[in-house]
Amino acid sequence: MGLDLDYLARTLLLSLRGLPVTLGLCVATLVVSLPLGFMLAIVGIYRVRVLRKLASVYISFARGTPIVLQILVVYSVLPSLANQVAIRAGWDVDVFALNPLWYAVVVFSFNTTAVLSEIVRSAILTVDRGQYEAALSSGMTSRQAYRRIIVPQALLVALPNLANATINLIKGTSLAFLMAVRDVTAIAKIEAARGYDYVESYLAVFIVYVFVCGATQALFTLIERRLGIYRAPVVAF
Amino acid sequence: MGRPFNPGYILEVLPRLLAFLPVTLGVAAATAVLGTLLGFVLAKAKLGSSALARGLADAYTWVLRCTPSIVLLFLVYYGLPALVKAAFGVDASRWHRAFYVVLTFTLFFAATMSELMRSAYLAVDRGQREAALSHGLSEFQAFRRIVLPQAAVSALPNVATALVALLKEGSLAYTVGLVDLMGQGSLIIARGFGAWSLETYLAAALIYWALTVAIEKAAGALERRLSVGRRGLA
Amino acid sequence: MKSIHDSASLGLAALVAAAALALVSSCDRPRGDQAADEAPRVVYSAHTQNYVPYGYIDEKGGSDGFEIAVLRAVDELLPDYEFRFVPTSDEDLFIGLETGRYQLATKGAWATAERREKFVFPKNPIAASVIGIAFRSEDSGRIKDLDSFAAYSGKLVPISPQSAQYTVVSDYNAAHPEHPIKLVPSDVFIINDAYLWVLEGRYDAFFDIKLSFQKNVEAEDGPFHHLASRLAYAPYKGIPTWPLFARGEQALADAYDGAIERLKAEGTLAELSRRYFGEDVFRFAE
Repeated sequence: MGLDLDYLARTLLLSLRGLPVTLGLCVATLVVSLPLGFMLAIVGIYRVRVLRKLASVYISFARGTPIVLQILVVYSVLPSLANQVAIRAGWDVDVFALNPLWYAVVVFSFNTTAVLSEIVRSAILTVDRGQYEAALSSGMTSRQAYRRIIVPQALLVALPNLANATINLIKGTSLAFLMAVRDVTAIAKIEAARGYDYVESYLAVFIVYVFVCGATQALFTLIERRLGIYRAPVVAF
Repeated sequence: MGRPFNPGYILEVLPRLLAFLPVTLGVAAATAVLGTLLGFVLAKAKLGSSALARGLADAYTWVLRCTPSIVLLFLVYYGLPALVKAAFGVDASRWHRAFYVVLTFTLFFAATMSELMRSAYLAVDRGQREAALSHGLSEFQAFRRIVLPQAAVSALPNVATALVALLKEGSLAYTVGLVDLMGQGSLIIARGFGAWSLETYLAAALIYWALTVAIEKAAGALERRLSVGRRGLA
Repeated sequence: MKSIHDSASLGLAALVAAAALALVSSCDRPRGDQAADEAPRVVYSAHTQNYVPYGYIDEKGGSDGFEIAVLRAVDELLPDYEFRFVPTSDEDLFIGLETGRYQLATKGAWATAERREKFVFPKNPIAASVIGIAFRSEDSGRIKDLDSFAAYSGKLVPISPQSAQYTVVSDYNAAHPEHPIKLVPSDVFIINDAYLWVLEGRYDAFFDIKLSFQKNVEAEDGPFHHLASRLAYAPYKGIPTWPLFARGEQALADAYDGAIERLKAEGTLAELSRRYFGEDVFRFAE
C-alpha cells in the first residue's frame, strides 16, 4: 500500500484546528483538578476521620470505574435529570443548550483530581518530618512551613508524575468525541470515514501528539531542572 | 418520561462479564510483570553514568509517552509482523492477538514505571546511601535494605494508579478483536441494540471498583509495612 | 560494583526477551496459507464485532450475523477457498484490508466513490439496510420523512462518522443545501439513550436502522416499549451494503459474485434475511 501524502497533509492541517479544544480541555481540567487534588491529598495525610474515608472512596471510584460509565452518567443521565427538575420547578432554561465541552471538563476533572491527589500525597510523604519540625522551631507557622519548605520539595518529587498525568490527560481527552466534542483525534477520524483512510489519519494524529506532548515534556523537564538545583547530584546505584 | 432503569439487570449481567475477567487480569498481570522489568532497566539507565544509555532511555520514554495507545497498538500489530517477515521470513501476522496487546501495553507501562522509579529513587536522600556504605554495607545491600524500601513507599500510591489504569486500558484490546471484560460489556449492549447500557456499565464498574479497592488495600498495607520507623509528615 | 549491576540488567533484559519469546511460540498457530496447491486458499475475512445483526460476536465468542451467514453460504459454494472470520474494530478492519492481513471484510459498508477507489467492490451487494428516523409521535403531523424533518428543525442525534448513516445524511445534505440536516459527528457509542433524548426534546430525531427501533420500542420486552405510543418511525430508504475486497482480489470478488447470484436464485439470501431481520431486506434496496 502507498501512503496518500496529500490526504495526510490535509488531515494534519485540519486536525490542528482541534488543538485549541484538546489543549483547552486539558488546561481547564488541570485548573479544576490541581487545587482539588492538593486538598484531597492533605485530607489523606492528616487522617481527618470522616473526610478521609470519603476521600478514599472517591479516589477509588474515580480511578477505578470505567470512564465510559462516567461519560454516560455526566453526558446522558445527569442532563436528563436536570431537565426533569427544571420542568417540575417551572424554570425556563434549556438544559440541553450547554456546550458538551463542559460535560467533558466535568468528566476529566472528576478523574484527574483523583490521580493528582495520589501524586501529591506520595510526594509530600517523601519530605522528612524533621524539616517540618525545624521550620516550626525556627518560628514559621504550619502554613508557612508548608508553603516555603514542604511544597517546593514535594513539587520536585511530584514533577515526573505530574508530567505523566498531564500527558495522559492530553491523550485521554480524545474520549470527549463520545460526547461529540471535536478534538484533534476526532477530526482525523471524521476525515478518515469517507474514504477509510485510517492509516494516514492516525499518522496525522501521531504527528500532532508528538509535538504537543513533546513540548509539554520539555516544559516539565525545564521546571524540574530549575527546581532541582538544590538537590544533591544524581548518583549511580 | 424517566429513563428506563432495570437494577435487576445489573445482577443478571454480572456473571456474563465475570466470565471475561481472566482475560482482563491475564493481560494486566503479564504487562505488569514485563513492564516493571523493562521499566527497571530504563530507570537504571536514566540514573546511571553512561550518557548513551541515559539518552536512549530518555528518548524512549519521551517518544512512548507522546504516542496515543491506539497508534502504538497498530504500529506493533502491523509493524512487528513486517519486521519479523523481513528479518526471519516468518509470517507473524496470525500470532495470537494477546501477544501484540501485551507487548503494546508493556512498552507503555515500562515508560510510566521508569519515570515512577526514577522520581522515587531521587526522593531518597543521598546521605542515606552514603551512611549505609560507611557502615560497611555493600552498594547492593545499601540499595536493597536502605534505598529501595524508602523509594518504594513514595512510589506505591502511583504504582497503584498505574496498575488501575492498566486494568482499564485493557479495553483497548477490543480494537484488535481481543475481548476483555469491558469489551464483553460493549458487546452485550450491542447485541441488545444499545439496551441497558447504564446497567451493563454499572455492573462492569462494580467489578473494576472491587479490583481497584483490592489494589489500593494491598498498596496501603505494603506502604504501612515499609514505613515502620520512618518519620514522615503523616 | 558497577559490573554486577550491568550483568543484573543484562539478565533482566534476557528475561524479558525470553518471556516474550515463550509467549510468541505458545501463540504460534499452524497456518493454512502455506499448504499444498490442492488445498483451498485460506481467506481471512474481517468483520465488525458489534454491528447487530450484520456482523458481531455472539455470547460464546463466535462470529455471527447476517453478513457472516451469507459469506458462510458463499464459502460452501467455493471449493477453492476457505473463509476464516476475524471479528475486529473498524479501524483494524480497514488497515488490515489495506496491508494484506485480511483479504475480505464486512461491516455493513455502503459504497462511496472514495471507497471504490481504495477497495475492490463486487457486482452484487451482500445485504441491505433499512434506515430511517425515529421521532416523537406528537410531531407526526409535521414530520413524515427526512425532508419534512429537515424543514422542521433538522436537530438530529449525533452519529458516528464511521457509520453508514453518516454517509447517507451527508449525501442528503449535499443534495438539499436549502435545508440541511444538522449533522453532528460523535464517536461510536452504542447506547439506546438516543430514544430518550428524542422523547425529552434534546433532539428531534434519531437516525437508525429499522430493526433497532423494532427491538427497543416495538418489541414487548423492549426497554422503551412502555413509551411506544410516544415514538414513531419513518423509513427513509433501503440501501445495499457491500463486502470489501482487498486490492488485487478481483478473482475472489468474481467468485463471490458467482456464488451470490446462485444463492439469490435459490432463495437462500431471502431466507437468511428473514432469519436475521424478520423480513426480506433486499426488497427495499434500490
